[in-house]
Amino acid sequence: MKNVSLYPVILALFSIILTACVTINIYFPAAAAEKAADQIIEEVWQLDDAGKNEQGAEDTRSDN
Amino acid sequence: MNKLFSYLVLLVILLSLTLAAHARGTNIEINTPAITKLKQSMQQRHGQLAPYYTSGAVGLTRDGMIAMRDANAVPLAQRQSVNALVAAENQDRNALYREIARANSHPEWEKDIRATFSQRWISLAKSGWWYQAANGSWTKK
Amino acid sequence: MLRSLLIGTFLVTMVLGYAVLAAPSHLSFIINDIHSPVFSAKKITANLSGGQLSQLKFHVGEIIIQGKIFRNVKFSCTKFQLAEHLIACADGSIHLPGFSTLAVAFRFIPHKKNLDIEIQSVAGESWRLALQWDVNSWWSVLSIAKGQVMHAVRWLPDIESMPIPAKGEVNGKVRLSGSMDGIARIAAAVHIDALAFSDRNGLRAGENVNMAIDFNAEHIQRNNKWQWQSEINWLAGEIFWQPLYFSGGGYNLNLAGVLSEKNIRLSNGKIASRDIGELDFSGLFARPDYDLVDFDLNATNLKLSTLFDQILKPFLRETAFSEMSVIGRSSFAWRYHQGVNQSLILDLHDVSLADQRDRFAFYRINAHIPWQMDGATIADISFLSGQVLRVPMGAVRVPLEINQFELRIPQLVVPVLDGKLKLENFIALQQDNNWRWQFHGELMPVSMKQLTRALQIQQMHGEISGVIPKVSYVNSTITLDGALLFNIFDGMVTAKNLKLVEPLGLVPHLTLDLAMKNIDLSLLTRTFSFGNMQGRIDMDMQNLELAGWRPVKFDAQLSSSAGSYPRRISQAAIQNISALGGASAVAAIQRSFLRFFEEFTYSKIGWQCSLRNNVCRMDGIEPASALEDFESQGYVIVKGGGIPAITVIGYNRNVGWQELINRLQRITQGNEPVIQ
Repeated sequence: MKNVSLYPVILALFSIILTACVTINIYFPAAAAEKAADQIIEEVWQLDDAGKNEQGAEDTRSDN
Repeated sequence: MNKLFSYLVLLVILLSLTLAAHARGTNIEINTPAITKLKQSMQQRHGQLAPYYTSGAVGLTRDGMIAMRDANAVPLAQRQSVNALVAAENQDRNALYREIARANSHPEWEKDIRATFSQRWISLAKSGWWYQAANGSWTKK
Repeated sequence: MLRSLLIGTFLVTMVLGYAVLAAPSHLSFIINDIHSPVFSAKKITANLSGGQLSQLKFHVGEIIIQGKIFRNVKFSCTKFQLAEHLIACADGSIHLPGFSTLAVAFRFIPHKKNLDIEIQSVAGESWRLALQWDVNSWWSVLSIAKGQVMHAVRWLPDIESMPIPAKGEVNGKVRLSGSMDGIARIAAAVHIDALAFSDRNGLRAGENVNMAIDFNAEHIQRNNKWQWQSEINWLAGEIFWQPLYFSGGGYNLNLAGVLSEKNIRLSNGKIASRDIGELDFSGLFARPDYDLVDFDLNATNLKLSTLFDQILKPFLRETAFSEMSVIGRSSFAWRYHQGVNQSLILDLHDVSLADQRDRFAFYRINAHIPWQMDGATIADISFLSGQVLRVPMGAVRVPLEINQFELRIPQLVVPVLDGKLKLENFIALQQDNNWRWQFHGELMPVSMKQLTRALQIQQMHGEISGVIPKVSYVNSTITLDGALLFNIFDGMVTAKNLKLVEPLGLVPHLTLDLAMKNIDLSLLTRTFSFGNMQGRIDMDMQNLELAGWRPVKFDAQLSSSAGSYPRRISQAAIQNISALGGASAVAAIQRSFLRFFEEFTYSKIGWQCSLRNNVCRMDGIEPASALEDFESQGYVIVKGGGIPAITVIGYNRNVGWQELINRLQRITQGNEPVIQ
């Protein structure tokens, strides 16, 4: 009798553990990841001032 | 007995919440030697790749990689070396996403990191570069 | 195709024949519809006028050839001759929409059954067909001079991946002959020059390609088969065929075979490359999908350097073998029968290969590797020397047992520097396209001096050895069960839980736990020029993780070993320990009375460092005082004892890992402590 009544509780417990796992995935720090990605991309593509100057130089070259 | 279980359930919920809260507050660690090395290797390669992004020969894919989009924009003799550049860049990019996930002790984040990067590469791309839209078609920025 | 053309020709001659009999001054006729498997035409009108009917005008409203529709096709001739023994046009012109107007001349001699047609364009291009026939057979010669391959574009299907010619010139002769049933014999000898072609994406393209084609085919009526021989000589130009690129020609392809309704049988196939060598092949393909049924491939003495660079490398781009340079020669034989791989025999002769990133290299490899579908074989593989991850290896000869997709080496001894790695029961097998392997073995003493030199790290003395209960490779990860024992600085180091992820990847990850016992401080400090210290220490390094061979994480704990031994520390060492905490501490010592002593005694040394996120969080033996604020509280690194005693207290809890390494390098490379 007792076992039978325990069964749904265990089931609920498991499902909550499962949702708990999912919760962690949902809370992937998207904003922080975006910031980190931008930082890396800016370095790889040299998107700082130096990069802009370089683009400016290209523009003048094409004008000539 | 049942009461004990409901306490347990409550505890698990609380735990999951604290975990979630903890994760939300985390910064993404990107200053490891491995990531720095990959970044440098990609930065060096960028000088060679940039003209091909501009000419449209190479484009940014929707999965955070790059691909030969229009080989006609490249002289025949250079097409193989562009292929090699694309392959090397993609190897570095794959390793980068994996290393960032590992550096943050969440290897399972690799997919999310790749997704974040694929959006950011495209957002930060210069106008005139080509990228792959969500439906797979190539679009000029 | 030619058969239908012939029927068309006959139709015209028949009508013309009628015109001759009637001989009026003006004649016109209309044909509404012609259908044939090759072409169909609608609204054909012909008009003959002028003196002796010498002006011919021919108009086709719509003609469909191979799915292409041409409207308004015009043909006219001002010097049309129509006589009993000759029907000729010396200066005709044909206008096909989309083409420029072409000059056409023809002569037809009915009683000789001889037709000669020549089409010329302005650029000197000429296509000339001479056709002759008798009651039941015909012969023709098509002579092409400066023929432009672009004309072919219209007849090719529009497929994205199909290379379409853009430019090129054809010269040569094609001879066709046959009976009323069709073509029986084809003999072609043509030169194609300055050919340029490309598919839409530019992934299969060629430029300035020159080639010579010889083609002979014969129809065997008895069983309705075609038998052919062909030779293609690629003389010059460049071709990119994703992912391969060839330039300069130097390839020769010979192909002979039989084509039947059911299959294509290739025999005496040969590809000869000036730079690689020769490849012989034969095979059987089932029609209509050209599925491979049988194939035999034999190559001897191929030059591996060019074979690898030109053919293999582009396919290995995503692997660790993409940056290899290879020299030597290779032979192989592949047999594929009834849709199944039967055997593959690979021979390597004096092959050397080296990774340009120095991850691995093997020199003077000689191997005979037979593989067969049924049953086991034994391969003989040997190399003279090599290195993996900078660890040099000596000569090895391996008897490799191959059983389908399982490899086995019962026992193997690999000389590693002055020691040996003994492998036992090596088993490798392929599962789901991934290789996994395992072995157990033993590492016989290798001197640390040589190993550290090979690894290009700080030289150390002692030996490394160990019993390896099990090494396995699964999912790109090498796992070592059991412990490796090193013997360095008169102490014992145990490495456990060793795991190497993606050993040949861009960023190998190594994790392990190290435990060092009874390290002789005197030997250690001498090796690193740190300033003399006497005593013994134990050091635990748990959770050590290296990414790309650089530490990213560990929990290190260093403390004096138990037991009785002299515990002395030199002033230089004290200064260096202090220098690790920053320059100001050194200056403080210089100003104090401590500079009068050469040596001090201590009772205990203890230091901890937990590396996380590039920051080393430090601690010592115990708190320096019982302050409540933990962060500002010092920790004891060297605890004094005896006379003269010295106690070193650290106050800095966190130090950047790179900064700590820089300080250590300054100290050990300077040989002398920094004194201002």
